[in-house]
Amino acid sequence: MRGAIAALVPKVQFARRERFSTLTYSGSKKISRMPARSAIVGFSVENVYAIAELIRRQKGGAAVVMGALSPRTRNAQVAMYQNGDVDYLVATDAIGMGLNLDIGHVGFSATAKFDGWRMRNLFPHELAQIAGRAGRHMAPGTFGVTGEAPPLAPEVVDSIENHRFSPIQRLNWRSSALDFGTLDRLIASLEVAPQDEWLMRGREADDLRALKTLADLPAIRDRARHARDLKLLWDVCRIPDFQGISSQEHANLLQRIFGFLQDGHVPDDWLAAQIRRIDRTEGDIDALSKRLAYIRTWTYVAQRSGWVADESHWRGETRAVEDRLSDALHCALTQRFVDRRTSVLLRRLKQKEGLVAEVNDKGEVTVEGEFVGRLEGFRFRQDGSATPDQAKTLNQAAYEALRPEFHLRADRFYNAPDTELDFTEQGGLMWGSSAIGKLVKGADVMKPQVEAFVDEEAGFDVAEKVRRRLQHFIDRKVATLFEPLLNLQRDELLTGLARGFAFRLVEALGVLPREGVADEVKALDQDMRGLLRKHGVRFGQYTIFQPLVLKPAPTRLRLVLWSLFEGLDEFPESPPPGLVTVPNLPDVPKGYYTLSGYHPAGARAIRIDMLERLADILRTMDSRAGFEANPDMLSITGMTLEQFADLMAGLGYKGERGDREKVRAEPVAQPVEEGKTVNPITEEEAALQTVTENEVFYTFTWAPRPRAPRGDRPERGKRTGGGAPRAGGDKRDGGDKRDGGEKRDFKPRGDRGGKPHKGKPGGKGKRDDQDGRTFESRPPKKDRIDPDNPFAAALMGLRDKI
Amino acid sequence: MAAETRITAVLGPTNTGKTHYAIERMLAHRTGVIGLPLRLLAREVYDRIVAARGPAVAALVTGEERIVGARAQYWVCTVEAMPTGRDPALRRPRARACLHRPAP
Repeated sequence: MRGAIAALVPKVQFARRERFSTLTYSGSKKISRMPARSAIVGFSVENVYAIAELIRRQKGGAAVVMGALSPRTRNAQVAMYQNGDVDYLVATDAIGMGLNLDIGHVGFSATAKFDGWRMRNLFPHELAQIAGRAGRHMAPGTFGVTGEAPPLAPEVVDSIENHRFSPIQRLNWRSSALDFGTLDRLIASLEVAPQDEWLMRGREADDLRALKTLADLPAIRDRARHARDLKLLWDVCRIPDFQGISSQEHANLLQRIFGFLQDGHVPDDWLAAQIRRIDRTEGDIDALSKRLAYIRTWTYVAQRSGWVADESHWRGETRAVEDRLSDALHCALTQRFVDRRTSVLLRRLKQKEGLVAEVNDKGEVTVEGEFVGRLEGFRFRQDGSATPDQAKTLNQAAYEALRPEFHLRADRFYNAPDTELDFTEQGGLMWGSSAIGKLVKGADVMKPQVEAFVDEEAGFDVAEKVRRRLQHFIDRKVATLFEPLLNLQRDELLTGLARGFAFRLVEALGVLPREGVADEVKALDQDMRGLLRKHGVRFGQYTIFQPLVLKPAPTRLRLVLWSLFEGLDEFPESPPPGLVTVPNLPDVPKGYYTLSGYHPAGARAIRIDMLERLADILRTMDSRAGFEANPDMLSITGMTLEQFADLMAGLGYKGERGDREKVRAEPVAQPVEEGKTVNPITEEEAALQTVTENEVFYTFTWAPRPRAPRGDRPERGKRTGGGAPRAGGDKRDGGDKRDGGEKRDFKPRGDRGGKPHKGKPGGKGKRDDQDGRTFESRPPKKDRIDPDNPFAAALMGLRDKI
Repeated sequence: MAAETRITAVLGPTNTGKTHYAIERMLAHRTGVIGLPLRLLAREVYDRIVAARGPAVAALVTGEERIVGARAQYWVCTVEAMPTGRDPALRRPRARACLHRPAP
């Protein structure tokens, strides 16, 4: 360049300036690996869009700079990059023309471009011009290739790095001495060849081409005869082809404008209509870019002096439209190529300002107004829509912003009442509806530990606070629900065997099948039992237990504690409260039924306390001679006769099935008064006469078998052998149910504390008649009158009369 | 002195502060004109001059816009829109800088 200038400008002085920083080639790099503060250069709009799209997905966003942008849009886009909203700039070679940008690296996504005539490789000095954007002032910069661009040749790299290019041989030139004599002379003066050896005529420019096109039109030739007209025509031809339409269309437009100007001004209404068509801010990037290009024509026209009647109006008008379109285009570009959420957060993070997080009642977390995810308890769940790269930013921003929230929440949680907390059947710990921790196995089954679900980012203090609160909660829960058990454990008065037994019971969480501890139980004398009974321990025929800890709430906790201590993968859930029997499923973990408060027998498992009630009844029966099921038994179990038979088999009784004619019961319940007057025998006879159906009955006998008939519960076989209930015989089993001193008195009924069973035997006689069909039990024995029956005396009297 | 014309060509690679130098030189004189190859660049230089000296003394003239301060001393133009001497205010400019950049 220096040679050319020296030759053309006499007495020129030169000043050489050197770069303050270095520019180095860094080879090929994937777009996804571009360092922050990079500009990526493409040479077509499609190319630029594709790259910007990719960057948005991977890096959160890019500013876009293209030649078609208005200065306003370009500046807005550049500002977004400069202030750190985005870290990437995607540009066409328009970026080569600009002032300082804070760019560290320039990546070429192509090294060839379409120069208006053909695709050609960029010259080293063109590459240098663009690469030179990297590293401004004192900061060194790098350049490289990316995407599908081939690596740069070493000599090209060398000339760019050292800024050595082949000297310019020729400069483009066009004559500025124009001849407005005639149209042809004007064209000729524009095409005149330079005399200087350093100069050459440039490629035919748009304005000259437009002039030539118009010159071919007879209408124009006719009108452009005077120098004044030719000057005007040339001025019109110099309107740049902003619209990039075909040269014919451009020429038409110019012809039109020339026509107007020859007659005066561009008419206001025509211009207004042109502008109105453009003045719309909807549409996509392409539509907006196109309109922006169109308005520039009219901006240009309005800027020429004397072309429009009201210059200041139209200058203002076109400027306003251009600004509106520019802003709309900026928005459209940003919307398409910037993930606002990520970039805003990133910027705020960089500024190290306090980010403001809000958590609404649904746990949705917004940081600086951007939705980032949900806070569940003390764990942040990031919005799933983010890409991996965004996710990092999002996370970082969210935790940054959530820091105060974590502390507030931890305080709130610490002060929350126990009623707001709960544990789940699977050992989870909940605060309201959010999972906040879980139970973990402790050294002792009754002392579970807790693990708080707190994000590491919340900090140790928060985690510790939550953990402590959870530990308090579960400790209190255990203390409340297992109070009788814990009292037992603590009782200093218990010594020796009784203490040992108490510990076994505590270990078993308050429920011990008797068969497993038969010997220990046998070894306890009555005083020891008495001490234990004071703690609510019940020595049942099948189970030793504390009725209080068999209630639903302790049962639920017991199952969790037990599952936890056993290290089960899946914690079995307690049966719904209130059921007397539940199905006996084969594949539940061993011990499950006992801990749930049930005793498996046959196809079903029966609640432990109900089983004891049943056992009390059975003890009154003559199990050697055989007995039939009575309504009491059935009502305790809530079973049909068939189910009851199966249950009994499970308990070790042999049930013999039999058929017999069914006794027809009286259709209506007889009032007791009537019953008094009627002779029961005749009534019975009458009933027998009307019987038409058969009924099924079972006779149960005690039949200890070495193996359970169903073979599913080995411990049952053991138990049936050990704890054979012989009615009235084995006091070991029978006597110790009651509190207090009556333990040795065998009382078949009334052993269930305050429960009013007195009425039942009385009802029995009635029910045998009325509900015989349902229970299919034996009709009442004629000679047996329940002494507890309130009408017993009357019945006795009646019988005596007969 | 007015008749004396001094032309200096400042050459250098990118990022060597040529534009910055030119603006500085111009602002060191009472009046000046600077021509740039693109409307965009003109706009940037104009903004810098406005920032340095205020809008009253700056002027921007391009094909599509014309912002002239009340006491315009420094004219920022695209090269094709550079005044050719008809403007009385520019008859004797103390500094004239013309930046050439290779056109894209």
